[in-house]
Amino acid sequence: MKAMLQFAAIVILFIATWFGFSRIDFVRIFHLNSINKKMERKIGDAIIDAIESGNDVIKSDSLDIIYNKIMSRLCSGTILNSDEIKLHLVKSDQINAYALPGNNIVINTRLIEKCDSASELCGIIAHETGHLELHHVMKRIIGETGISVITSMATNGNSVIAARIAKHLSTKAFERDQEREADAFAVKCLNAANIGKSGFENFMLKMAKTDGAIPDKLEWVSTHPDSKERVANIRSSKITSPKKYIQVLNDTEWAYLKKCAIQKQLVNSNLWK
Amino acid sequence: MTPDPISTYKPNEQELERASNSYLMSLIAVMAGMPLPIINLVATLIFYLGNRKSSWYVKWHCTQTLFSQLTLLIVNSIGFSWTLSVIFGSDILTNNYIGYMLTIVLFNLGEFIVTIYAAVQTRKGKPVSFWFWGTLTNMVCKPPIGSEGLNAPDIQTAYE
Ligand SMILES: [Zn+2]
Repeated sequence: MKAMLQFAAIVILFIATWFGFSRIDFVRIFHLNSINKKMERKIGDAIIDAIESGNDVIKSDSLDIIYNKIMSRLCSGTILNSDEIKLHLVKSDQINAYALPGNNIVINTRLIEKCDSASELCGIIAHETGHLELHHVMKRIIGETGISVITSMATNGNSVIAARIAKHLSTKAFERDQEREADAFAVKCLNAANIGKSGFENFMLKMAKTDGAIPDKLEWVSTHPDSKERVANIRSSKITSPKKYIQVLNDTEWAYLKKCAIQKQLVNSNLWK
Repeated sequence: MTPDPISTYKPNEQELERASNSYLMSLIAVMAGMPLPIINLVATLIFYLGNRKSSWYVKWHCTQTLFSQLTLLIVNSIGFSWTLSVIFGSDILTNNYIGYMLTIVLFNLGEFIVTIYAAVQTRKGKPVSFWFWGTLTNMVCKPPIGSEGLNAPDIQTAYE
């Protein structure tokens, strides 16, 4: 009995000490994240280089302005720095968008084709941003390839491995808990940015309906199953909706982005002359 | 409250030295045990087994050392495997992890200081009964019949 009490006291002392120490934000104080981030950025650059070498990325200053507008709006209600997250438009018939290390998000042209509004697209981007901010992407790469591959990638930037990682991240699903977390993050982010969650919800409903119709083109659905259950979760989310809704892109900007996506190439624009 | 049996036993000079040595052995183990926790156990276990046939007094101290080392082994092993997982596995550097590592460093340090104290006091003939581990040792190491009540020195209790 006496031993039990003393044992309990020691266990409590141990846990209390641990808990006390954990309150201190060592990671921030000693800039441990910046070391991680630097490595992550290098890996991300190698992967983006690999994708760009395939000549499948559509790039232009006009698109950059649009990306900027989207990201700064999405980040406006959060502490995130919108400049850090980069969007990439990739020519592909797969309806898909995915997060890559180093705060990169790839959006396939076909996904934009399927979006009926900029707020639907923002929903997807917010969800992928969630995967980045919650460290799902790096955790997964480290877990699945091992740290040795990561460090060699960070130093040499092996393009074969980079391409393989990109392929893996775009076609394999995250864990269900991580998807739920990313959804919750997206809803919070969308509401705080006065975009609202309805676009995100709409897109997911659309995906749920086409489920099974053209399965080979629906990568995002295959890596994000249980659309109906997720929509229900998003609907029941208790995070307060924005008081007013503000358009993310104006009609011409959205039309331009969509046209680029449909034609899978840059189209002439006189938007910003 | 009856005094601990260990504090009422009258040991001879050789017993004092051997009992005290069991703590010194554990000191070395604590130092080596931080990076590789298994050394903790192996070192103490060897000393424990080597003194199995010794007198009750020596055995009592060896047992107490073994118990405290076992506790450290558990927390250190968790820290060790967590570190491996951070370096080679899927875990990332978190405040929880750093907090845990600091906690076990503190506990190892505490153990270190208390063990030095116990080694010195035991050598002087004043046995130290650790908190919890002393109680546990009393439950396992029953004193030989007739040894109680002989020239009882003051009860010393070290808090860890
Ligand atoms: Zn996802």
